[in-house]
Parts: sequence; structure tokens; C-alpha cells
Amino acid sequence: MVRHTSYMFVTGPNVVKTVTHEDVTMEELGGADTHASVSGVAHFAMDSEAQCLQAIRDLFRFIPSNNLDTPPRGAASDPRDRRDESLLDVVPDNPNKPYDMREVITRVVDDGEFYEVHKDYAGNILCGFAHLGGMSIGIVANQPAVLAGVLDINASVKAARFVRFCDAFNLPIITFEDVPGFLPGVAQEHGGIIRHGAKLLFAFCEATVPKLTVITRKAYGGAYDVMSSKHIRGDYNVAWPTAEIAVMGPKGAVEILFRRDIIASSDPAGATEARIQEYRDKFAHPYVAAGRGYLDDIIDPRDTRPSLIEALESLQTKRDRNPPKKHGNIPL
Amino acid sequence: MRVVSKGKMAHYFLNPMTMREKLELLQKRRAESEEGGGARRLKSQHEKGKLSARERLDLLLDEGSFVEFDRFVVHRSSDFGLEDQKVYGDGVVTGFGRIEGRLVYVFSQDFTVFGGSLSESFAEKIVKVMDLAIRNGAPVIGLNDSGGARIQEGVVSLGATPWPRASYRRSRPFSAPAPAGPCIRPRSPTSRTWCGIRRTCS
Repeated sequence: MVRHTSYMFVTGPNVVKTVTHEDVTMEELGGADTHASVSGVAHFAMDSEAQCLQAIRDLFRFIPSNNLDTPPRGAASDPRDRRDESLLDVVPDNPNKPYDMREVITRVVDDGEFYEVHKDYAGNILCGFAHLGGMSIGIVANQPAVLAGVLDINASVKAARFVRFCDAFNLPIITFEDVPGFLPGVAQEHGGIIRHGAKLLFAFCEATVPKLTVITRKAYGGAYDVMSSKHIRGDYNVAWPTAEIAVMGPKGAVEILFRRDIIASSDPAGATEARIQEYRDKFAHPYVAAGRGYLDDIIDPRDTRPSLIEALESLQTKRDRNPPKKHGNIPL
Repeated sequence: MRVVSKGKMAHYFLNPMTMREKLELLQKRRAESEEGGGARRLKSQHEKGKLSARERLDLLLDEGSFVEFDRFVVHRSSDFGLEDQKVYGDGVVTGFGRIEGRLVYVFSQDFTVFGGSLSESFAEKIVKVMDLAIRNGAPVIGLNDSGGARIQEGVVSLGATPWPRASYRRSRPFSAPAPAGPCIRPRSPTSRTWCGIRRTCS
């Protein structure tokens, strides 16, 4: 949509006023920014018609013409074996500090170009297109810089739709994961986070395009399973050495598991610290998951690009099927 | 109930290891995972005129094309002292590579680790590459060098045996599109199998 010249609604401000007595402008009710950031109806909001039309042209560099077509290739001028030293400095040493996942994505993909979809909607998850080794891909990524990258209703629906788009148009999906879990809260539960979260799970499960996943830091709980894990047919799942793959973070786990011990202790702070350390040593790393084959490898972050390109190339001939049926039954 | 205040707790969440330290640990463990059963056993392998599991892959595949899976996999058994004997990779090297540029999936059994014996997790590694091979329409090449099932694991190692699991049950419906398991004969799990390198099962 183009800002300040385009509007969309089922009924306009006059009807709204008559029916619900709400005063609202055209812009607020159905302007470009409203739909791009509040309703999620628009995927792109542009300042001018020229920009909007150029964006459509750009989009065509990533997507095929139909569902049987092969996606277009990029220029592939970026060296496939390019390592990136700066990837060592993106994830902060303190696991509770945010960082911008776009920094990771743009350093890995061809020429740093990430064509983002739904940029202003549900910023806690990033979706978009890129080329990797010249191949068109779809990217789904948790964004630790917004709401700690948590999955909520809007993020789940946004990403689920995107995953299904990629699957429908033969675009491999690369997932960058740093997720502390699903967002707790009355509003989320009453809003149906179970149902909406299941859309993302369903979408990743049923997708038969190549699925590659890089865990950069947190992969906690059910959200770990949802984010294109090995358990739902991930083809190539790797982690950085900073990854923490567990049911929850060390603090939350200790508060549940050892609540009684800690209360009974003469030194609760010390007891908690010891248990947190114990939990961290046991689980706050990727080696347990790798020990069971839930990860195919743990990689040096600098090697992310070459590793993904090699794996993606090995999956060019992938053929997978879902059980025969009229259509799936995604929890709409 | 006594609750520890958030302020007091804050410093515990500072991760004790930095990215560089974690990377160092990873590099150490990756190097360790390539040692197999260690220098002494490797020497004995060489003295018998045999190559190591990794040396065989080096010769088989286009240079630099091998991408390893599951190098950190370990067994989960705790019987007969196995809990104290864990070796990264658990006795089989798996992954994919290229032969004359063509994609192939490989597994190469490592006699220096538990005599190349087949455990539950060892089998899972092989099943993983077989599944990928089927999905991607590429052949599997198995380099066998194994004493057979891992006795300490008992029936678990037999239940996990990849021949019936992957080669037979999984690949049969796909036998037309994917020539999976050219070196593997899907016979009963305890029977003798042959390959290009060495007879397995003593």
C-alpha cells in the first residue's frame, strides 16, 4: 500500500460512526501504516507509488512465476565460501541482552540483501526473501531486539503464512532461531495462542521444501520444537556454540525444580546460584542436543554462510510428500 | 516463603563463558571428535594395512566436499561401564559429499571406536543419512568395518539396526527413484554383511 493515498476497509469511517459510534479517520481505520503495522493486512507500506512499484519489481527477483516454476537465481557475485569475522560479535555474552537478528541475516546472505516482508508487523519475528549462493530462499527469524524474540499470536500467524508461501512456491526456508518461548499472559491465552501458535507448527511440519535451521542462542521449550526443529523434518539443523537448547532458561527451571530446597536452605541465594550453575552446565549449551543427533552439527558462527550454502545445494533435489488428502487442516 | 530478590539474582544470569571461550571449547571438541579411538588404535589399524574411517572418506570423496553430520553424537547406555566410555561420533562417521561433483551420502564405520560396533545412536546416524539420501534422490555408500552389534547395549542395538529400519522398511517403496544402500544387503541384522572394505561381523 502507498502511504496517505491508499485505504482499505470493509466499511468506511461513516458507517463505523453510525454502527459503533467510533470516531476514526480514514488513515487510522485503513491507511497503509495501519494495515502494515496493526492489522497485518498489508505486507508493505511505501511512501510513493514509484517506490511501491519498484518494490514489486524487486520482489520478482526472489519468487517464481508459478508453483511449478523454479525460483529465479540471484547474481551470485558474493563468494560462496565467504566467512564473516564479525559474526563472532553479534550475540552478546550476556544471554539476556538483546541484539538485532538482521545483523546475522545480512552478514550471511548474498550481498547483505534481505527483502523483508511484514516489516512493521509483529517485529518479534522477521520474515523475508534473500539469495544464498545465488539460490532464492525464504528466511524466518526470531528477533531478540523486539520482545526478546518471543513467539506471540501475531508473530505465529505472520510466520505461518510466510512459511506456507515459501512451501507453495518452492522456496527453501532458512530459520534463524533465538527464541525464549511463547509469550505468557491472559490476553495471549484468551486470544488463542495455542491455536495460533499451532499454525506455525503446522506450517513448518507440512512444508516439504528444504528446511535449514541455525540456532544462534536460545531455543527453549515448545517454541524450540516449532521453529523448524529436527523433530518436524528439518533437513539441516545446526547451532552456534552460544546456543542453549532446553525446556527453559536456567533461572526458570531452577525456580520450579528446586523451589522447596531453596526455601528450606539457610542460604537461598547461594543455593539458587549453585542450582543455576548446575542447570547451565547440564543444559545451557548445544552439546546435549548434538549428542542425540537433534542437531546435525555445531558450527563456528563465521562458517554459517558456507555451511548453509553447502547444505542447501545438497537439498536441491529434495522430494518429500505429505499423506494423501484433499487438503491439510491447519488450525485456522 | 522466602523469595530471592531479582536484584540479588541479576549477576547469576551473566553467562560465565564468552563467545570466544565457547568457540574455543567447540574447536577443542571438534578436534576431539576427529580422533576416533585415539592414536594407539589408529596405529594398529594402519599396521593391519587398513585405513581409518576418515581416511577412507578422504579417498572416496572429491577433495574438501565432505560435510559431516552428528559428530557429537554419543551413546546413551549405562550398562557394563559404558557410561564412562563415550566417544564423540560413537564409532561411525556420517555425512554427505561429492563424487565427480555428484551428491552421495556416506557412512564410514570406525573400528577404533568400540570395534565399530553398532549401538542405538550409531544406527540412528546411519538411518539419518539413509533418509536424506532417499529424500534427495542420492545414493548411499556404506564403508563397513565393524565387529557387529554392541553387545553391552543388548537388544537395544539390535532394535536400532539400520538395515531393516532404513534399507528395507524405508527404502523399499523408494527403490525406483533412489538407489539407496548400494553396499548394504538388507539381510537379518545379525547376518554377515559384506562391503568394499572389510568383512563385517566376526
